[in-house]
Amino acid sequence: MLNKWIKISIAITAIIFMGIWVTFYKQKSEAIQYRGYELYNMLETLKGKHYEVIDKLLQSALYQNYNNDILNRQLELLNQYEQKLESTEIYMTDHYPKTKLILKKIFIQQQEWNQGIEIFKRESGKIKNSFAFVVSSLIHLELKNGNKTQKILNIISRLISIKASMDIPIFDKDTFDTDFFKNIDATNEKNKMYIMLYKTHIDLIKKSLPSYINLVNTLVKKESSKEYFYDLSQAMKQENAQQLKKLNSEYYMLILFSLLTILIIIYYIISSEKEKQHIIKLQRDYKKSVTTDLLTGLKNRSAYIEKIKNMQNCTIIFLDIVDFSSINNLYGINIGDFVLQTLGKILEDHIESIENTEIFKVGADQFVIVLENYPLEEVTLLAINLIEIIEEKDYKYKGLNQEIFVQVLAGISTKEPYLLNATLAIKSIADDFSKKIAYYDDSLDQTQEIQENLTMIQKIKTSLINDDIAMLYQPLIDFKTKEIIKHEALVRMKDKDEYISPYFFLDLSKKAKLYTKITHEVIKKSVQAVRDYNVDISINLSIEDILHHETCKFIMSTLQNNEDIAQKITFELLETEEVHNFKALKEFIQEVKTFGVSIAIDDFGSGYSNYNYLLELDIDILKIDGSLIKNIDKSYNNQLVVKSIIEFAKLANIKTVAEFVASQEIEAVVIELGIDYGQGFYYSAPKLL
Amino acid sequence: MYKILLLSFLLKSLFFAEVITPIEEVKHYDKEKVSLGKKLFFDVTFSKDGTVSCASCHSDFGSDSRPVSIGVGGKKGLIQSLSVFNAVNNYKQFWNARASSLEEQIDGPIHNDFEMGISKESIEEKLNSSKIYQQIFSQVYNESPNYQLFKDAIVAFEKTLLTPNSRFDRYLKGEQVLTSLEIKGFESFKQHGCIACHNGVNVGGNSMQMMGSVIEYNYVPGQQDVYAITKDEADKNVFRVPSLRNVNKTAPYFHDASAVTLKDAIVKMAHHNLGTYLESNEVEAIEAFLKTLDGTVPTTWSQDVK
Repeated sequence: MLNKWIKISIAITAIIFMGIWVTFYKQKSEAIQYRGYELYNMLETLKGKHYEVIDKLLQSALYQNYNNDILNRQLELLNQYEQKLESTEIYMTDHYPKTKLILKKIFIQQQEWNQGIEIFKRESGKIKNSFAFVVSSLIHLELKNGNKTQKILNIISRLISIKASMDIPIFDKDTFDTDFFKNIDATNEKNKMYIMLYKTHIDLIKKSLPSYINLVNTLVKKESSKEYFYDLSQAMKQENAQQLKKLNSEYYMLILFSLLTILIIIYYIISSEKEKQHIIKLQRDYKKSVTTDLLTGLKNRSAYIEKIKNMQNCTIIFLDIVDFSSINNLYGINIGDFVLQTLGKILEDHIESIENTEIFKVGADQFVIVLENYPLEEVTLLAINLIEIIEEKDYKYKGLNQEIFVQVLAGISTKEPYLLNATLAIKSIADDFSKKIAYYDDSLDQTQEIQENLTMIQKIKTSLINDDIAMLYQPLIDFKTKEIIKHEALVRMKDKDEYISPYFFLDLSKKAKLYTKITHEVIKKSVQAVRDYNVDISINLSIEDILHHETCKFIMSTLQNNEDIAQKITFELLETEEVHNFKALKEFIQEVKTFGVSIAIDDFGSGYSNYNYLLELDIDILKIDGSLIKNIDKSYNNQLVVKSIIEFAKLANIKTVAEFVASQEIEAVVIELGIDYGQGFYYSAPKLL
Repeated sequence: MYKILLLSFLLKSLFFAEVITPIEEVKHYDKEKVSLGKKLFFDVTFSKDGTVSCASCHSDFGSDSRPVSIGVGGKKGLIQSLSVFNAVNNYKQFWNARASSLEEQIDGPIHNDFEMGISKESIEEKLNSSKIYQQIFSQVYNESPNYQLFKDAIVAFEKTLLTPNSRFDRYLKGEQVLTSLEIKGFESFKQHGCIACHNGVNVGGNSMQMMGSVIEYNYVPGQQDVYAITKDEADKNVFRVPSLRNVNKTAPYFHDASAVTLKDAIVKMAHHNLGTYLESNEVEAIEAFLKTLDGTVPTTWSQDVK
């Protein structure tokens, strides 16, 4: 493939060549036409000079006295002109072969003509002299007889008529009857001499006149030369036209050739342009495939990085689906993908109408909206709006009867590194259920915490391997009997001699996907404690655990394996947790209850305090939130709240537990209020059994 | 008056005015070149033995009064010398018209062994060995001498050798009145047909004619007639009609110098070529007419050029 510029220069050259050729042709064709015109004129002039000579020749023949200088001069001019023609293109070039041939014939004929004219001059002098003599014979001869005079006059008139007509004469016997001279007086010496001269001249005329007239006719008529002149101009015209025709065909061929060259080049330029377009398209497709998320069709993280590189004064909204992994786990990857696609579509549709925004899918379940030149307020509004739309949307998957709940958190960042900042912002509200939007702020720089977290995760892993997940138990006291009725199992991580509180590792374990293992460990160890120590044990479960398929399965199998001691087990569910899948929770409770397991609600009174929910779920025990208890001896308000809870519990036949009983004063109040059991440091801190 | 003038002009043009035309004087010529030509014309250097110049045979009114000229080494020529005067107005040169120009004519006598007998190379050698000629040639032609330029200069000189202002020419121009005898001679000249061959500016010199076209003339084998060139029987004794200009001054007459006097020539011509007999008074009249054709000697010939 030729370089584009080479092609263009070839095309330009072809055009220039064409231009030069057109100009050249125009000049050459004009030159040929002009030459043709010139030559035609010359040939016409030649013809004219030819007839000029004939004219003079006729004059010479006609006049008795004539200046031969004139005829000579005219003939010389003709000959000179013929020589001049020999230096024209007819002779100098090969363009006029036929014309040249005819011209040569004419020139050869001219030589004959020149000789003929010489003879003509010679003969005409002779004839004229003889005529002069014969005509004047009447003066010279002494004629006495009128009849004889008449005879001579007849001869003279006959000669004059012959010369006038210039017809070739047929002499009969009478024409030049010389017999009558016998009757002339021959005794006269002068007469005698004249008769002799007369006879001589008559003989001369007889001999010369026919050939002379023939010569004049030949020279003057020159039929063949007339034809030659006609042929000459025809041949010249024809050959001139041939030259033009040849030039024309050359011209058209070259024009055609030039045009063809240009066309070919144009074709190549167009085709290479097409190729280029194709390559550009491929590049674009490739770039797109690299920069596009296949699932949602949105731009991916690479595209985001590329985009953000050149951005100034921009804000990002980072949207993270809350606990997307559990959607995947619960419903399967197909539904997870469906959720992502739907979410992507929602965002795309919504963002589409907003200027200077672009959406990217930067993680498995994370989206980023990049906004250019937007005030933070507007960005926040957009984020709120988006969260609303996302969470209110019905995610109905074909074949799945259940409704899928999707929750998102939005992190807003105006500072580089945008994505990291936004992530950290979200993280800061991950535990705060009241907040859905977080802003990046310098104070939220958690780089160090991330490091600590990583260390902790490593620790959790190690403790799982080394069986360092330990259980501490805090007893519950029956206020009536002052006896320990059961223990709440509390998970700890054993680090050397220390027991680390779950506060420090539980959230991390969730993130590190170790939580399930810990849960299982807790259940396993707690159940083992029931068996080993023959005590009632209360195990904390989160709604998450219950909804977690694997955990749920594990709980059920554990219960089945320990049916004999199942009635000694209580599951404590956190009231604070928002329950989305109420139905699943209810089913779980119903199922475990078949084993004789009791259900307790933990931290009741701090969150929703949904009584209807308690009734619905068939709860056995209600653990009143510690925050209500710890100041109950000093807070009347707390006493009122707790009192109402207890009243409800009694009516619903639900045992109540007071947590955080730290002193005798508190114990006195809660007993007074009618709470069934107590738990707290007043009795015992969590301890090993 | 105007009508009469017009009529007379018309009559003149219709009849004789064009048959013989007056010699026009040469007024403009390259004096240096003509001077050089004249010098060359008279210079005997340019002959085989340094004895003969052009002028040796063309001195008496441009002609030679000897029956035949004497060339290098005293060799006798073959034919009567023709006059160089008015030669430019002859349609061809030499008795048998074998040269069509003066340039061509020069080659004849120069190379002829009986005349000057010198080669082109010898002439150029002689010219180039002469400081004077070198100088003149460079002045005239701005180049060193050569044969071509040699001829060119001579021709330039010859072209000035015209004899205008003859009484007849002045008569033709209406400046001169001829005597009745002269007029009678001219009338006879026409009536007998002399004018059929002797016409034009040179009163001859414009056609070929057989010597003895009516009554045969003596033929001498080897003479320089047209037959010598063509070897055609019909061309025997055919010569170029000589000019009658200054005929009175250029005796003897004919190719063979057979007529010593003008009267002889007239009578011979009347007999052989007109086939007629002239009375003595006619001969006298024609002679008188022919004498009116005497022109003035060219100034470039008679005087120093410049």
